[in-house]
Amino acid sequence: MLALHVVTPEGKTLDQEVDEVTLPGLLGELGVLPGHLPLLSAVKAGVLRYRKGQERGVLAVGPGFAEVDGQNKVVALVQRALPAAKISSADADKLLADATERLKGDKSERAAAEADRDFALAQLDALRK
Amino acid sequence: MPSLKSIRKRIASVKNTQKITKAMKMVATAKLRRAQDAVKAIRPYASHLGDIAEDLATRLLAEPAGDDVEAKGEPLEAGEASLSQLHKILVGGTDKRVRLVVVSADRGLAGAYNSTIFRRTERFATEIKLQEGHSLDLVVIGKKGRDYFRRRPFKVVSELLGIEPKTVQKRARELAPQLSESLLSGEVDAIYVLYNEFKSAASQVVRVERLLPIKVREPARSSAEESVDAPKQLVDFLYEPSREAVLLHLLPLFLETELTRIFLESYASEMGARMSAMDNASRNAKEMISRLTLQYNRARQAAITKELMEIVGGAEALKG
Repeated sequence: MLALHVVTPEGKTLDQEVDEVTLPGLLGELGVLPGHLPLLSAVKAGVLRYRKGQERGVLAVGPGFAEVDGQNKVVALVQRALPAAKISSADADKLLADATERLKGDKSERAAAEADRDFALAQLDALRK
Repeated sequence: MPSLKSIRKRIASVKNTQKITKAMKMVATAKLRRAQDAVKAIRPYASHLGDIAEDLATRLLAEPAGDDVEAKGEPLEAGEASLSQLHKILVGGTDKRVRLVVVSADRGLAGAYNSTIFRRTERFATEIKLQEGHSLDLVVIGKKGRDYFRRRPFKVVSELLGIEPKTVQKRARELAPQLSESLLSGEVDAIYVLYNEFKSAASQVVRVERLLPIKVREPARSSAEESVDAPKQLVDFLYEPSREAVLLHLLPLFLETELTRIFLESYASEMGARMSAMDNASRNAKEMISRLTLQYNRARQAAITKELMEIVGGAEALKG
């Protein structure tokens, strides 16, 4: 059993016992099972999945970090997180279009626009899974 | 003795002031509640991120060339990880050229909120200037701070106004790269921040913290024998992609989060300070009104008595 915590600047999004977690690591997907060694990984915007028995959960997350402490506790510190159930594809589409538009704009807005775009894509990905 | 009319006028004006202070108190209370929630939400995230940064910094300093030596040749996604850059983030120099981020409010009428910030800044500046060859410049947040430091001999490199809960993240995102850039380019040696930490609605504490270079944990067990073992006591983490890359990925996020937290703490503190200041002001106004009313009634009674005496006196005179 793993204790999975998803923490964002707006508070805890998820705090649950799970059997398996898959994180969107900087170098690709990263699966964590109970008994995993201590690990600190950079996380990019993408889809975080977890499984508990037959039950599966999907979250869209922003960039951040994941820490596995070796005592079966996984803490994902991410800029934003949204459970699949709360994602609306219309909103995500809108965010994506808006961000793409802003990417063409001036440079100072770029970083924020990219972050929004990545998170919008993550949301759409999460819906497909 | 002031005339009846002038007392009446004063009562009216104090009542008006009271209305304003009461309204301001109510606004501050409402805003405080929301700001308080935001601060509470971000704290665990920020402190955990800070722990990771501290841990990573400590470890990288303890054993600079770890098992990631091969990884260094590869281009890293988080930017070019040059060792000298890492060195600046971690070790810094001697904190000779210091940049201080002073977080004040845009508005006054918040009790001693702004003035404690300024006083603490002055003290910090004096401490710095006492040391040979040290210099200080400021990044000023808030209109009050801007106005204050403009009139004084401080070097202000940039100003940022209009921080409120809706804009904190955007502002933090703007400011964070400026700060890390100034450190990496060698313009300054260290970045400090001075702000009000939110304790409760009634109490705020001014804090001075070093943002960069990242704090390194002191080997707490300092006896010579144990300090040799200290690196082993740290849990040996695996790092993905590599320790250096993780740190460089962490830096912007860490700065942004810290700034966001600091802005939120300051905002909540400001509202708390304003709330208690306005509460006091309303209470004083109430006291003043009751005192003036008493005075007014006395004066009125005195006038009536005087008039009666005059009438009685007049009647007596007519009789005779």
